[in-house]
Amino acid sequence: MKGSGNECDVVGGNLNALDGLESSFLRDNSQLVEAYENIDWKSVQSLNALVGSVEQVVIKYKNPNEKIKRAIETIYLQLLQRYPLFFGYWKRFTAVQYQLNGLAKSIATLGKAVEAFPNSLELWCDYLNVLCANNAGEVELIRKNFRIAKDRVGYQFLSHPFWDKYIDFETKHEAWDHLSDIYAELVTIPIHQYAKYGTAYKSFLISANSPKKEPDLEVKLRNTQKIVSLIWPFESKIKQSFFNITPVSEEELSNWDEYLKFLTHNQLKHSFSSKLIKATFERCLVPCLYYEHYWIMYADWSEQVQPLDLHTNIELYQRGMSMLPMNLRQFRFKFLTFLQKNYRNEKDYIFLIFGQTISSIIKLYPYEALLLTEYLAMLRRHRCGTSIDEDDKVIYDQLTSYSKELESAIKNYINHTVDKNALLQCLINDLNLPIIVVELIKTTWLVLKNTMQTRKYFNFYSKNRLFQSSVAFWLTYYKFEKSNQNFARLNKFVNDLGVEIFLPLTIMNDILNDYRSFYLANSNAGVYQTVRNGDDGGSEFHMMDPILLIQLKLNNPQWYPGRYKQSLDWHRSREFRENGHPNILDDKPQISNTVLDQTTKIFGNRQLPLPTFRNLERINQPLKHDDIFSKYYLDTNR
Amino acid sequence: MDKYNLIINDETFSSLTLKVADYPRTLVHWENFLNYLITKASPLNKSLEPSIYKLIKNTYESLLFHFPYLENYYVDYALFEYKLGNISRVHKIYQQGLRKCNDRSLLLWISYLKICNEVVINQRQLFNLYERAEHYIGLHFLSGEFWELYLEQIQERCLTKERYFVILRKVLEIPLHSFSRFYSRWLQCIDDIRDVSQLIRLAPKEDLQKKMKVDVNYQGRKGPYLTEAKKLMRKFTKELYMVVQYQVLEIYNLFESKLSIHYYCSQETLISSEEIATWNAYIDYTTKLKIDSLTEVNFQRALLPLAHYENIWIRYAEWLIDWKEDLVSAKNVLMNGLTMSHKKAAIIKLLCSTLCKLRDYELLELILGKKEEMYVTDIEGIDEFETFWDYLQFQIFCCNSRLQTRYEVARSDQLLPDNVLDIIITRLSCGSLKKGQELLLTSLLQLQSKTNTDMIEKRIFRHIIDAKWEFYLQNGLFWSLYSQLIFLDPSKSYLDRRRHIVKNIWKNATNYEGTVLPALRRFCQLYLPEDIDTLEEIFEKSLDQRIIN
Repeated sequence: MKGSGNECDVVGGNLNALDGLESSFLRDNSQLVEAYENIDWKSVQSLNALVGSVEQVVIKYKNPNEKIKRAIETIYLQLLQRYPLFFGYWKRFTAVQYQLNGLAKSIATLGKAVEAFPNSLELWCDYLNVLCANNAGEVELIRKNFRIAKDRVGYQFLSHPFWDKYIDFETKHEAWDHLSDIYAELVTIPIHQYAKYGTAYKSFLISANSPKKEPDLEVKLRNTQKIVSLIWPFESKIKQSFFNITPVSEEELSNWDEYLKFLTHNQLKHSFSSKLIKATFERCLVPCLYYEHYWIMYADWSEQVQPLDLHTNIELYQRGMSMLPMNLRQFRFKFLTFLQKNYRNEKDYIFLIFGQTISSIIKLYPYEALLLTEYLAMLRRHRCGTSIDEDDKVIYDQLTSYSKELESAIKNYINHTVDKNALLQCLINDLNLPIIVVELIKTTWLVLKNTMQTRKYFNFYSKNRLFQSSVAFWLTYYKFEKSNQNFARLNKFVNDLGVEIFLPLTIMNDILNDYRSFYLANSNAGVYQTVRNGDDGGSEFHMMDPILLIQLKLNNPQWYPGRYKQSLDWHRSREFRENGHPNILDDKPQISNTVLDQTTKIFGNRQLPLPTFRNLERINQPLKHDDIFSKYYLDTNR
Repeated sequence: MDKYNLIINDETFSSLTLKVADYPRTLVHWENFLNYLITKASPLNKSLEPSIYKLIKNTYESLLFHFPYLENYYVDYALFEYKLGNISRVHKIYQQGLRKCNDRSLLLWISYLKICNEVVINQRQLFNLYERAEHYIGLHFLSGEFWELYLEQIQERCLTKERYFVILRKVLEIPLHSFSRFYSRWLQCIDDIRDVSQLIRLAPKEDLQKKMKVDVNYQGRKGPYLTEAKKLMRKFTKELYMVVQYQVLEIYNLFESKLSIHYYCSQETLISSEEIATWNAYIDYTTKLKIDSLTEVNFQRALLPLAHYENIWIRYAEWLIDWKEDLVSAKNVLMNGLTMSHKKAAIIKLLCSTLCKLRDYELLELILGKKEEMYVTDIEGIDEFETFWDYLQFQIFCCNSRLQTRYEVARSDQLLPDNVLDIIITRLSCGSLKKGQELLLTSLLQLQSKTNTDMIEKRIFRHIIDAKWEFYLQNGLFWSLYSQLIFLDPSKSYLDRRRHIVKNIWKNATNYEGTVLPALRRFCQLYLPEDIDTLEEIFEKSLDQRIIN
């Protein structure tokens, strides 16, 4: 089975459902084997073919053995775990279950379906139908399910089939109190057939069965009518209310966007109920499941209307995180911000959730070093958030133990002895290791004020190749030496940039510029003199100086003073061979004993030597392109 | 009324002079004026009235003062003097022009040498000039005409042909636009050889022996031997031709064919970006050939059309510093650039740095003094953050140096000289009127060192708070920078810093609640995550307090 359409890991998804089947069976049903083994998770045709061939098997074998049954079930479960919103497949699965395993199993399957896809009107109607038809005696169980269904689908614009069923059910059981409650709520819900229920309610009220009166009915109905006419322009434009793998059309997307904006922005003005808005979001997220934009809108709205309901909001975020494709980050990072903002309200709980979330996001984006920074900030906030009025010792103890925690995490990571139970240690990888080291160093230096130890850390870690190109590490080092005004070390540091230390060019440029400013502001002519003279016995010019020559290193990090002077074999250098046509190495024909740089005066009447040449034979050869991409990238990766 | 008075009393004269006086940097007014004078004064000969002569002469001088790179007007001016027979003035004018162009003007040299061919009798003097010209513009891509002149004069004035061959042989190696015509001359020379012994005119004897296996003293049957030797000579020539042709085509295709402006235009002429890019690429290319005199002549060529663009000056100076290690020339180039370029900030920056390296602190202080005058008198009028920041840095550096030479003391409270600090404060006081205020504040933080935190806090941050400059106080960055300053103060303990930030700075900041909180949150996230909750509490409390009030 190849491909992985939706990235969430499917339980049992990696199992081969066909394992253990007899080879004669596999031979006879090659269509199924092929459909299963070559499935393309991103193609509806491929999925349909698979389901089709499974059904063929079901038709073909009236009484299949257990192995076959298990295989069929596994195939369906794998499919539906990946795409729980395909209600059609749920229905077909139910039918197949009925045929293979009988009624009870098929009811249970429908039960699973409404659990996996709780906003599906069709599935709920089917489920309730089956329950009513087959378990008619269990009134309370059915009623419970009706109530659950009401919360899930009752506010959907086209939910009248459900309501009809519900009213039927209660009427049949002559539960007039319940029916009265249903009607009372129903007439306030803006659904497509609101008028029908208005009339029905009126008749019910004047019938003998009605337990109470409803004086404001007309007002309520008018209000509902008004809301229906407000949302009708949007509702009428919804063409695709179901889930599909293919992208949703632009019109559809913009309609949902406008619809939801209209609802959320006018909630107070038109007193839209939160249940309605929630139901609309949930409906939108069926076709638009993979669109981050709507998840963000949903979360924004939810945070706004129920800021204190942490658990609901967190649940919403977690659902979105598990659904959205991996490449969409905004929603995931928004969740982190949400948690940071709400930390104060429930510290331990949020800290726990924050850790879990960071850990799952780091798995998705191991390159994103920022994530660990966020976690460390949260960790420090959690561990050391004592008020500044506390006793000094208490605060320092906290910070010391915090820095010890960091240090042991780093040590364990480097020694490959990670403690799986310690979250912090599990979060570290080669790419974000410098981040935690920087945090340790910053704590040691700025908080605990231990300069000796700080320098030791810098020395130790700068030798590790993982730190060679870490911006955070080297910027901290730079700041540290700046605060010590150690010009000798700073000079060495800027010299090493681009040679030993590889940072992004813009960062190196910033450092060079900043160092120059810092040097001018904190040094003087006397100090400058000593840099210029150097102590390695080299010529004065060949020392990098922080005022003039440093500027020549801008945008050219590998430059060093005297670089162009010292090349005897200049014609072999890359600069010369590429001259005039970057990336084309050309060994140009040349006069090797040229007199160009001498005036004729010095020759007097002496004849100039006969010319000798270099690369003359290459004059007509085709040019050589230096294909860096394949040479250094493709070849090394091959 | 004499001619002079006729000219100056004319209405046209006054309108033209007025225009020139009002807009001295507009070239066309000068041209109109000069044309007018020349037309009125014609015919130009020795009988020209001295007063008119003086008038025209002064006009030329002023024109060239304002436009020192107008090569053709030097020629014009010299011809004017030539017509009047003032030969020594002719020399002077050409030399003046050449000096302005760093001796690297092809146009001036050719025109000058043409005149010299006629007026200089002394051969040694004349050829001295040619040798100088060779040194300066000999490698110019278009210098074929110069070499033709040179060869002609050598042919005419020299009794023997040795010099001719030496020069011709060198020209063969130069990638010139008109390179091939020198090859036909050379081939002619080969053809003209009548005896094996004459081959030493074209190449040294040892070379002939070693590289061609030709013995010039060959005693055998000479006819076929000579033919064979000539054939070899032609082969060398052909190979040389191929190499030079390759170079010429490369230069021509990549650069020369794309350059259209080879002269100085004027202040208001914009040069197309393609042209500038071509020059840049050309300079790059030339630099990497590592032939210094070619690089210099090309820099000078590029300077004519691009004189008002700072980039070319910077590149020239950087080349002198980096490739030639010639700081003094770099300084001179930059000083010239300062007068010509429209934009000056980057030039000043490089110049000041060069002066530091040259230890020319006197000139440095002079330049800084000039800038300071501007800042003191008209800080509102000057709006270039970069320049201002550079000025500050160098000023501090100079000030540090002065202190250091007088007495070695640790300057615990001395961040900046008072006058500089005043300028900074004045600039900051302009608030939103100036760009880059936030940048300035951020940059000032970079000046923080072991000992001066208190002083920065007091003289800048507290000053802004006391003066109630809302522009900063409403800006979260100000408070976040202030917190950062304190947090990074190496002289205080962690808890002192933290308490100072929470109890003083944030307390103060609550007065500007809405706008500053996000920036402070970011600060906390970066430096003090343990106080995020405290921060929120402080701001919430102050909000509640305000609601109650």
